[in-house]
Amino acid sequence: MTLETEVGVFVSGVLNYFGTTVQQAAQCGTPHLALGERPEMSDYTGVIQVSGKRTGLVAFTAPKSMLSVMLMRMQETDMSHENLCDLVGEIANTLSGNARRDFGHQFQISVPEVVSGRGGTLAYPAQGRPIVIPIEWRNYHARLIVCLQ
Amino acid sequence: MARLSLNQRVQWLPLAVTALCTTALALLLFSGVQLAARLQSASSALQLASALSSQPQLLRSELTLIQRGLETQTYVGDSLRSLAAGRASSNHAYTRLATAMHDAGLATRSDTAALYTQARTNWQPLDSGLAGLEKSRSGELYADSAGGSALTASGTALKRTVDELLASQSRNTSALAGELGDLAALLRAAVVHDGQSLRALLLGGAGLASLLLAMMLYFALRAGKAARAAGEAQRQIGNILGTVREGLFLIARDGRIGGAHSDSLVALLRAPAPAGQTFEELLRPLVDEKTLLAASKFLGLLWKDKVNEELIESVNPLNQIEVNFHKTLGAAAEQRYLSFSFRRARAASGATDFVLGVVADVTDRVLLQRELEQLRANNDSHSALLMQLLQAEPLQLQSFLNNVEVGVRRSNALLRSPGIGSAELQHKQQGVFREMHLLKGEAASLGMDSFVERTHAIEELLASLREKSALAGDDFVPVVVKLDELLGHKQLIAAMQERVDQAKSAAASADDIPPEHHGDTAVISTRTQPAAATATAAAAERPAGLEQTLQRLAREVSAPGGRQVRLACEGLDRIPADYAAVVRDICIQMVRNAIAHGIEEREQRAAAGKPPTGAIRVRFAEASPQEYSLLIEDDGQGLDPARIRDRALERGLLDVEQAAALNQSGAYRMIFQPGFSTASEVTEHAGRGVGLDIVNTTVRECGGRIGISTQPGKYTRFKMLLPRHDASAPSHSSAA
Repeated sequence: MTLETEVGVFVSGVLNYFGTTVQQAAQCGTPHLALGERPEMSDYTGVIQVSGKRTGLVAFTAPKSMLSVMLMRMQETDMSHENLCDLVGEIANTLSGNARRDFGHQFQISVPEVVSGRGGTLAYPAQGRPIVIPIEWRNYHARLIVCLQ
Repeated sequence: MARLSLNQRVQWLPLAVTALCTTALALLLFSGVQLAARLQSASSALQLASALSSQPQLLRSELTLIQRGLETQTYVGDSLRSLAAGRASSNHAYTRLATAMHDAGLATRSDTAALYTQARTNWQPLDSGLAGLEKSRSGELYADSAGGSALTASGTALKRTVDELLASQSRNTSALAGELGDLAALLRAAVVHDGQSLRALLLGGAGLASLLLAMMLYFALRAGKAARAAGEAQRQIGNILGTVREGLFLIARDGRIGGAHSDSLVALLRAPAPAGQTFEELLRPLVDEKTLLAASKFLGLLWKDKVNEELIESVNPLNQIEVNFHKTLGAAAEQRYLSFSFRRARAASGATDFVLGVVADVTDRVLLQRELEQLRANNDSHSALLMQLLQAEPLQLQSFLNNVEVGVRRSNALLRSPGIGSAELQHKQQGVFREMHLLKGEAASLGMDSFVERTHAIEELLASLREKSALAGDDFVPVVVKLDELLGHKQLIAAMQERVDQAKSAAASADDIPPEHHGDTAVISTRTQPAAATATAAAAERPAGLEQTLQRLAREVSAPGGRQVRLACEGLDRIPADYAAVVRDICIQMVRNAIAHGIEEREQRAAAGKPPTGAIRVRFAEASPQEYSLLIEDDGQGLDPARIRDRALERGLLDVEQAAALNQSGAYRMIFQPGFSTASEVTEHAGRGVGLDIVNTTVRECGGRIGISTQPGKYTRFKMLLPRHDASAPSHSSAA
């Protein structure tokens, strides 16, 4: 399985999440490389670590406002920090599930972790250049970050 | 008859002994029953003989009583009845004695038979006498008178009979008693003997029964042990089948999978219940028809015992197969590599009973092998790259690598810019395409095939995006991955170049050559920064470098098409530093275009009366105090407005009306449109319709102009006028 296919699986996973769970489709911006800098973090970030055939991470980072509106669409009234963390964690968990399903035993996927705050850092692999895929939903901007070595 | 093995004999021995014991015990019991019956008869005979031996004496006593009664004229009626009963009883007893002796097997024994016959013979006279006595009693025995009682005639006759009987049978009764006594003694001995025999039989029977019990205990113990061993073996087999990672299964002669198989088989073949299915049924969803047919024929061979097994395995079509699992509820669609091997499981007769199949997932091994092959290929390509690096001019290479970095960064910036509408995405696509095309051209001019391949691959991806009606952001994922790969390749080459430079420096030091003449890795120029600080040194290197680059490019591009080209360069040593990159890009695109689209093949040139070698001329000059001129001319087929019109129509750049209204100058302008190309197929050097588009854009960005002069079949001349930057800023002097 090539890297582009693997990145495609994660992108489809996020878009499917919006289409099915949030029931409102999101659009994908043009992906690009984060050259010479770490990708910008948003308010809440769900991240899974990948090892095995490739090592690295996959993260979904989104602003608080976007996650709150998502929760509303999902008939949730509790907009607490914990619930926002749960939502971004659930998206990461969905990505993890997709990866397990589509990649099989070639990859080992960690339990999703949630990083809150724009100043948070992720454990990027030493050599990889992160690919940033903008996710546009309503007027909100989230990012899917894939950095696999 | 097949000979039994020692082990089999050991197993059969207890069974045979048990069977013998059982038979012997049955015989003993049967004999015992017979002996007991005989003993019973002998005992009866003994009782009868004993009873009979006292009978003569009793009869004699009764007769004596009757005699005395008659003499004293007392009542003898009871004695007479007792005598009659005794006689009847004796007769009956003799009959029963004969029967009992017969049943006891004593009737045929000479001694007992002789005694019985003699006793019976002696009894007969007595019996006859007693019978006569009963007959002789016909009336009253006594007659009473005044003188007392006296015997009547009947009484007298009876008395006479009694007296005679007592007198005649006196000796006979004694003999009879003796004979019956002897007979009783013999019968007693026979009873004792039979009793002893019966006891011996019973002892033997008890012994056999004990032996039988021991055997049964032995069998029970052995059966229990065997059952425990079988249970343990079954448990161990279960553990093996449950633990082993390979799929183990048995194929019966009818092709069906046996009930016992390893648990892994289910997961490996993704078949929930393989038992009972035929092997072909299991295989059908995983492989194509051709492989399935080959597998069926192969299995057929396995059942032919005469065919060598090792030979069969060497033609196993399932040794390593690629299987494609479809997506199911519990598992993802994926491609795996499985390896099947088969062995014959033979029965005791030597014939094939089952075929043992073993299937293993060898995906990791196959992928690892491929990775190793890829690594080997990479090593080879690294060697080739190293050779290129050794031959390349360091400054040119450094400049190119900088341009790769810049090109990728500019492409990335374009992708990063906002906008996900269809037009915006197409704009991004075109922008990245131009960058890649520029890089590809430069890579080709330097002979850096690895970069040509990579940039061409990105162009292919972008070209496919151009054809899509509804473009989406995620369509660019493969482009970004390839850009990342291109950047990674550039970094690899840069690292290699650094090592090559270090090696060259070391070699130079060793030769005691002043180091300032070596290892100059300064950047000539980049598109983003002209590197003014190194302009002087770079200018000294650049003209020869660009001409050399163009000469190499001409060779590279003309070789595959069978064309011959002579490139003449003029004034390239007068290109100012701030135009070095621009002129370089333009020259590369234009020379490549001239060869790919202008210069004809040899035969075509010969037919047109032209020399076989095409001529291309590149000339850089100062056209005026305000402008430089760059002229690129070829003696090729020229521009054909009609052909340009047709291609524009084909490519959808013009509709029919626009095409009809297109004049000559309009047709010439058309060749600068993005996506226009007269090449019929896409190659590394032509066909995308981007080269002149890039030239046009570059010249316009510099504030310059392009003029075309052409004559079909004769020549094409492009003249570009570029404004002099130092015209308004005289302090920035050119190398000229």
